[in-house]
Amino acid sequence: MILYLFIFSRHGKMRLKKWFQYFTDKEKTTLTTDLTTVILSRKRSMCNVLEYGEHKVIYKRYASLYFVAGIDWNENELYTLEVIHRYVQLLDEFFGNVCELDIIYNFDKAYYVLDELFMAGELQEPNKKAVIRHINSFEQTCQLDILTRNLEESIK
Amino acid sequence: MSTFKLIKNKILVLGRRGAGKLSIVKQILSITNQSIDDFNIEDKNHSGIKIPWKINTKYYSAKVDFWIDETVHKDHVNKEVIQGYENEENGIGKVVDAILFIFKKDEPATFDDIKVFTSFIQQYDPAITLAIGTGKIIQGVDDPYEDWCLENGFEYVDMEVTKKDNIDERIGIERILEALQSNMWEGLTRITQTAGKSSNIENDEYHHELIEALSQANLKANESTSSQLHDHNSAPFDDNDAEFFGDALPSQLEIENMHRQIFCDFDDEDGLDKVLTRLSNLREKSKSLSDEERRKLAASVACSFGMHMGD
Repeated sequence: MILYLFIFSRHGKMRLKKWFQYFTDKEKTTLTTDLTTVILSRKRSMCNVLEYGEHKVIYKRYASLYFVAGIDWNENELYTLEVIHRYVQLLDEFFGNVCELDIIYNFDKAYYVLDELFMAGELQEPNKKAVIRHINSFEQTCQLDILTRNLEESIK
Repeated sequence: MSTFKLIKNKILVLGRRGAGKLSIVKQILSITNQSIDDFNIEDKNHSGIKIPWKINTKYYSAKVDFWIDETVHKDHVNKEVIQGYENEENGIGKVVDAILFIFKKDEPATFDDIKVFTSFIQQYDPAITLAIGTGKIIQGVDDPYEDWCLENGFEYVDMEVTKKDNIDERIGIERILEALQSNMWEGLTRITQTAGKSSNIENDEYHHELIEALSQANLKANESTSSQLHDHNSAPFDDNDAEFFGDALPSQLEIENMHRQIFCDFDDEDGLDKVLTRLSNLREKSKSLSDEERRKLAASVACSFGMHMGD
């Protein structure tokens, strides 16, 4: 099970945080600060898996962002790396050549994709096309809602 | 007494004379299609130069300034200068949000110049700190730079590194630009995304443009209402839309013609069916038009809807 998932920049700015297990606020702050410091100080050639407390941390750097997932001891590390890669592929497909700015200014959409992909710390939809189809239909529903509200306001 | 608010939008460019500070700034401006005034930088001493730069991205635009300052060998450092940086009253730390430190890779002594600024950086914690290495690579010398950078929160950018095929990552000047653009600068102006701007909705272009035209129509209706409320200098029925928006909005005549074309028999028994058929014919027709004509058609249809609902 994935316990948490972060995305942060190469300057330590947190861009996305998702918790799949309960942590107190203090634990969350400590965890994010510690992991950001540790991972940013690691060189490119170092291993993508490290141990932190009672769980393992898998991270991968994509361009200017680090994707970090905390997993429990019996989870497979390489599988987690693949899952992170699947999330990045989906973001890339959704935003079209995704960059850090897309995640900063459309963080809500990044969360939509994450919520379609994961549930309770497990991969719930491995099919990329299905996820994109669901997100697209959700976006269309949002736009229709905006359109309806605009029409209603223009009638008033 | 004026209340001047300090905006944190300065990029401090530090480096030894001849390290390539101005060259890096020029490259950044050049990539973003902006130029630099040459008349005030003929002197080799670039200390104290301020170069304005406008960051334009698809989400925001921001006005920032490059502040260039020269560093010297640690044995010749004037402590008063460093204290001047650290002094809160001078306000330098309050306005600097990025530090670009440029050094020559083949002269390790030029890298040591940044170490006197460590306390200033720790005190004010700028969002972006880059250490940019210029000049040719010397084998085995890179590692000390990277180690120090990792320990002190700097990102090391090698200007001479070549792009590896399997890594999709920006390097050199593009990486510097990416890092500067990824910061949320104080005083930035958001570029509002309208309702139909989602990049993944590709299956219905006409639908997309109709949504966009309606969203814009609603925004402009709100803006013109608010300007009438708050702009006491303008006449009540001043309509400057044509002046500001030019050809983007259809004319009143075009809207009336479209309205007549679509809704002429709306009140008949099967009037709604006929309206929908006409709309679908318009959609088919729009596929053969150019982008601009299609947008105009979408805008006139949207406005005719607005006119019909206003009846």
